[in-house]
Amino acid sequence: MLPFLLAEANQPRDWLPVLVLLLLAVGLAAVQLLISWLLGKRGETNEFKDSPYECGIEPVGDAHTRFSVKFYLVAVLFILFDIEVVFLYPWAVHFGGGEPDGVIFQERPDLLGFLFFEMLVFLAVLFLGWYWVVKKKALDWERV
Amino acid sequence: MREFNVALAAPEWILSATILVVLFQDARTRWDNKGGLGRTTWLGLLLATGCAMLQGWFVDTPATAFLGHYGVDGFSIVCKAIFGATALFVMAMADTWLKRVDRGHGEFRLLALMATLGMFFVCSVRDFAGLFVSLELITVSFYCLTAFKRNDERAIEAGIKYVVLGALATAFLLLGIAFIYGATESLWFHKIALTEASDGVGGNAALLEFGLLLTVLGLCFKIAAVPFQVWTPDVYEGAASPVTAFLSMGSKAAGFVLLLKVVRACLGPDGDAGIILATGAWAGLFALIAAATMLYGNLGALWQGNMKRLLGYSSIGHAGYVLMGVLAFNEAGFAAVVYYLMAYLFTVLGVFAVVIIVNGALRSHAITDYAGLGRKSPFLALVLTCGLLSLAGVPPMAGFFGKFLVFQAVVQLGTPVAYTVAFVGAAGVVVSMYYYLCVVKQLYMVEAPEGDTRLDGLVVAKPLKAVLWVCLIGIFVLGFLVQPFVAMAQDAAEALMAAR
Amino acid sequence: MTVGHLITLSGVLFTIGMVGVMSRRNILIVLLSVELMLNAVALAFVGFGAWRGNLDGQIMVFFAITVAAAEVAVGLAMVIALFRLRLTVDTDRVSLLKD
Repeated sequence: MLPFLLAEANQPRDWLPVLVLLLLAVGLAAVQLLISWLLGKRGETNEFKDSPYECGIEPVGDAHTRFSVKFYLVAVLFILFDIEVVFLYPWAVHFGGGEPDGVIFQERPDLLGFLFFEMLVFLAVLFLGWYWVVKKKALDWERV
Repeated sequence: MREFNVALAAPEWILSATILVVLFQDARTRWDNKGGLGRTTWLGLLLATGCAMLQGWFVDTPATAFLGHYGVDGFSIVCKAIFGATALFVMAMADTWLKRVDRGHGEFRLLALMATLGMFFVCSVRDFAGLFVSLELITVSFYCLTAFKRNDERAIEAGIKYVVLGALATAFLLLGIAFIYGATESLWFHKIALTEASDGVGGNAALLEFGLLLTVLGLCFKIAAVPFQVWTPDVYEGAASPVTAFLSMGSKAAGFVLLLKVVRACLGPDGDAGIILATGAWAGLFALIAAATMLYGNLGALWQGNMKRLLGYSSIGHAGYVLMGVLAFNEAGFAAVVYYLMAYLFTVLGVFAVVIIVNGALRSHAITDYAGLGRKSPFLALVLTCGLLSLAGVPPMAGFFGKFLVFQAVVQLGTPVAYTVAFVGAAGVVVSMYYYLCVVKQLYMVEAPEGDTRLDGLVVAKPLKAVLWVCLIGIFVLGFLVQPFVAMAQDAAEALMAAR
Repeated sequence: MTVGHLITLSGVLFTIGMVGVMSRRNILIVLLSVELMLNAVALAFVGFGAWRGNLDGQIMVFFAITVAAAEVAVGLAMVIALFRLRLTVDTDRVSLLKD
């Protein structure tokens, strides 16, 4: 079980990969800043330089506009349906006869059918919920 | 233990199917044509409750299903009967109440059904994963039900208070389960006693005790006991009356059923006090919680002018009385808890049925507005009076015998802690007598102000009338014909003690 | 790294979340703190599970995640309803219900 969590990482050399990653991350950022400092024309300002984006469409209005409530509703629905899918992963691992429960399925092949049926029911319930949401016009962008 | 035995969970299957059918129906019908939803709901609830009760005769108990995670025994059957009756009574109240609400009928029935499904599962769970999921099914449904009137600031405020405190309690409960899991290496209830027996008071015991402490604190939220009781009056006042009724009976009883299961899991295999509970510290903790809860509830109720807030504080007080039955840690105590819940069912739902009818006419919950009800509507006043007297524990009523059994179970322990908590409880009963009688006095001794015709000619819808009659009869049956029901409660407690 | 470290981290996160729930007035922050508490417990489950070499803890984490999502979704819906009615998400200004 999770040997990397429990293995003794006491030896300094065990932390070497972390150190290398850290150096790379800091070094890359420093090099980029250094290049722009060396090559960029400092102190030169004009109308375009001071705008939020140097090119593209001109920004309109305040950046701190409020989000419409619609976004929250859709986000809430997304979270719920997204999270429910989390149960598919352990099911898939077990159904594939993975390590922990493979033995049970060798003894009891009839359980496979039950497991399959169970997931069908779960998905049917989820689907019915989605149907309800659609019918209640919760995803209707104009009406929310 | 390796069998799925799917058919054993028939009541839950029926309820789940009902939920899906109602969901489908609600999606298919227009908002002004929701009569079919009510019929489906009634049919599903009646079938599920009937099925759960029939299992008492036709199932060879104790039986398990789903590889042992789901169990049916005498205790679970009695509890399912209580929850089924609660849901039916509440649905009868909701039928009347929903006529005053123009939309959301489908959602209300769905949420109520889901809460009922959670309560049914609560009776049958045999491990902490089931405990957590079924409890959360109830809790989340009740969050939505509390804030059901979403254009009412009070309902939303009550809902938010309930969600925040409820989530806090959920986190405590879950942390407790995590520590119990760490100590016992499993999520099964029965592994607690095994771990105790094999480890004694070794290194795991500290983990286990800490986990149990947090779990009990988390369950205190559901039963509205100190330290998680502050939400009760606010939520009772803000939520719609049928929801409050459901909350005061269903949600509280579910918490007690789980508390009994957890406490049972700590007892030794022969029903003797387990190693942890025998130390006395746990009896002290439960006694402290019970005494604080009784004092908080009964003293807080003294100055309430709002009927639903009064019932909220009174419900806290009753949680304290029932906790006295739990802290006996023996079969007599558990039987007293089951009997108390049966008596509380008829009593508190009868009171709430009257509150809903009166509120429909008054649009107010002020106790002063109940003046003159005794003359204008003698039957309603009679049910309310009997209900309040039963809550207070006046002798011929159901509530008296529940309190009697609870006090008996505690006093029989004979320890100083038991005597102390019984004394506090008795003081609480005396105090509660005062505020219940104040309401009764308002009904009969005070006349309605001149020209106030709101209570004249109250029409009671048929389903509510049925609830009133059943509750009135129940209050007296459980007060006079005590023996069969005490036997039932004792059988349930015996099955609980025998559970593995 | 041992189970002790994991549980300590979980306890620290849990405490931070609890302090957040009790001291912050913005309901959105309160809900975030609640989420932090529940995730701290999930960490404790994984830690104990790894210590014991047992998978049950990881199963509980799935349930904890799902329930946390449901609770926060309901909480957020109520916050939206409150904001529509009162134009505030400050708990101190929501106090119609009191003795």
